Amino acid sequence: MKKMASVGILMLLSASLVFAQGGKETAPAAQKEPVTIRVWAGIQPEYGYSDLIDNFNAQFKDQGIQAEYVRYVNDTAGNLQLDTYLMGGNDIDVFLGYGGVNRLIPRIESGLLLKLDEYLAKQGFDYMKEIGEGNLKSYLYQGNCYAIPTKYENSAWMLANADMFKKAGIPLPLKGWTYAQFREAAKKLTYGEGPDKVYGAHWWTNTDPSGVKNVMADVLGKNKTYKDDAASETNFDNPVWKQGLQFVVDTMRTDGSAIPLELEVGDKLNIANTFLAGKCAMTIGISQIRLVKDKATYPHDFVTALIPAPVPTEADLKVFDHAYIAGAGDLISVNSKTAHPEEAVKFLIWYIKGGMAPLAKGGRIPLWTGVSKEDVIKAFNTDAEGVFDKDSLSAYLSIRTNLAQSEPSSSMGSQISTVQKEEIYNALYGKKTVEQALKDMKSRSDKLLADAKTKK
Amino acid sequence: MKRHNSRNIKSSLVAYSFIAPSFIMLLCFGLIPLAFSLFVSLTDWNYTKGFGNWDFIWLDNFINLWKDEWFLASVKNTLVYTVVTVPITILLSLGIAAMIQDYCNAHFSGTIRIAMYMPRICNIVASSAVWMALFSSYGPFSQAMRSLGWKNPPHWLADETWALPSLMLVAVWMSLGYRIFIYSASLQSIPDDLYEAADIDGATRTQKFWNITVPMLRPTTFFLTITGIIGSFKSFGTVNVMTQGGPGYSTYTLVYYIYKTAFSYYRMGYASAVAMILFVMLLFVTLVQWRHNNHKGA
Repeated sequence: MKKMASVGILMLLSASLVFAQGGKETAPAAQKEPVTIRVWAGIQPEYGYSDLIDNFNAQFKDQGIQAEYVRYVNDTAGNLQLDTYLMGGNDIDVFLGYGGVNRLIPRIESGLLLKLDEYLAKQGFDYMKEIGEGNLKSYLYQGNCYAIPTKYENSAWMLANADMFKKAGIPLPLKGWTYAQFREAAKKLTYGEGPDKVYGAHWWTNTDPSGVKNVMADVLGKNKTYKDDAASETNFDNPVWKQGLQFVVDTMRTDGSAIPLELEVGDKLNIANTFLAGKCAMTIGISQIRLVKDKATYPHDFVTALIPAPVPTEADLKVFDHAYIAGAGDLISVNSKTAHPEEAVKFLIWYIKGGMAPLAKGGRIPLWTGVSKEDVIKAFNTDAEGVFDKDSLSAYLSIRTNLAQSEPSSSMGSQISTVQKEEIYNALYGKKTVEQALKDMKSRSDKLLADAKTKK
Repeated sequence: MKRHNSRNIKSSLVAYSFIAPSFIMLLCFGLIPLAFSLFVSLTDWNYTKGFGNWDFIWLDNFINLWKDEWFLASVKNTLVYTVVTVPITILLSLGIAAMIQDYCNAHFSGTIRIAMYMPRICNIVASSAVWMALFSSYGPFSQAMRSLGWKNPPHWLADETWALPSLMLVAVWMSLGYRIFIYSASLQSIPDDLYEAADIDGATRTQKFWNITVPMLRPTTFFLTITGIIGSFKSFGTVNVMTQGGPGYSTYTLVYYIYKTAFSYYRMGYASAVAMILFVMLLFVTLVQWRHNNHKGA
């Protein structure tokens, strides 16, 4: 027994000597280990992130910085995973966040994000100049920068089947159109019956009705949701909301020219099984533009145009391009617990200033003011010649981003969104009149705001 | 005397060591989380603020619950779901198990029982996806109704009136096989001489069923009712995959609301308060049924 114990101790000692020796050999004083930045985002690597990371690693090899990509799924469980990792420590250095201020503000208030101002200033990056005040303003928190939007995406623009428009003799409304003109066009574009029916429009309200909410009320600019900057009362009693919701209800329930909500929800409809399958002529869903480019997975043989959603009246055509919408998204942030803040900020700046170019191939348009429109169109059309209508693409890239307005935000934003969705559904299902749905939307939301205020 | 004591201690230690693994598991994954949940329910803890970053608000969460329309809808839906699915499943499974016992030969009955058990071992997401296809607007259910002359059949999962019954149907389908299995095992353990005696007395098949089979299966029925109620109160998977609580809040259940509050809004304190209410409801049901059973058994 004693013999066995001494043999065991001897083996342990020998093993520790070997490891100690090995450690010495692998860490020579002269050669510094490269710093690895772990980047999390919610997009499949094949939509550009693989190339982006390869480019970064090639360019920053000499500086001893490398990057690794981790994809998380941008849903409830995925965001929970992201937040848990952010809280847990330094497994994430840089990440791309989605969901706007509703997700951003709790992360800032919980101390999960690094305050970027000093780091950016040190590296000579003037975020107001590089991104534009209108794009950035709503994402600043108490005047400080914790996240920078990187992508432009105006959710009140629609994808349109240019071939169907041509066949029906309807010109693409690149200079905007009104609700009335839209209804006429949508009726013309609707044909067939039963499961083979092709609809004029698809409002894609079944996952998140934020796109259709913009169609209804974006002419209200920064007061789309709240009446005042303090977000103390909602603005759902504004006549614009009534006009907008009535318009969408009419297309679904009166004209039959938009896919009814019952079908959307019951059949779990999305861009792939409606627009790309030739089941509708127009759809909300500019965020899914990468699917249009991916002809291998979603085969289709028509040209896609990008068109603005309609505005209520002729008078509103002054914002035909929905320029009030701060279409800035894909917020890049640095984990407050990162062990390499300098390197992470270096990656962030590189990403914004052209590093994200490979993502344009997948349909993401860089927000950086220095980006060239021609380069974006070129990148957009890489491996996708004839997929998009070029004039419409150019019109989309010409939206007056300087008019963007920042909406006030509230800590009850997520719950108010849920209330909005439920009441919009009540109207679209025909369970409540438009007036009643908006009245309830307002009273329920205001109650949430009042309760939150009482708790404070 | 000393030797006797040390033997006693030794045998106690052996006994404790046998129950230790399950007790440690119960402690780590049951009792400690339960106590922590109770503690958190008295705070305003927001998950992203990190561990320990909370203020005590004592019973505020429990008071606010009763003014919360989503919570009230969840309670109502959970109760309706339970009251409908548990008795239907019990009655159907008892009837089917008795029919298999009476009318099928030994080989065939085994095959039927296994076939009916399959939904129990199927992945819940996969099963839900199949049911969603069945419930779709041009799926088999709607098409069958159209062919029978119903011009506008319900939109099932997209219809506030029909969404919850549709989920109930899936729940019955999923749990039926397991209950048939348990009932079948119990049926086989009823002594044949009881039926033979009844035959001699000239009892009919129905009389034998109600006066021998049903009373003899009472402990099994009790067990299945308890587990059925607990299972129904905990329903989450199908709701999350098929309806996400909608349309409106017509299919919000308590567990789905806990999930939504905790992991969408990160309001851990409030979600824990809902979880405590669920715990108390289940505890109450279990106590009432135990008491009832003991009383009858006495």
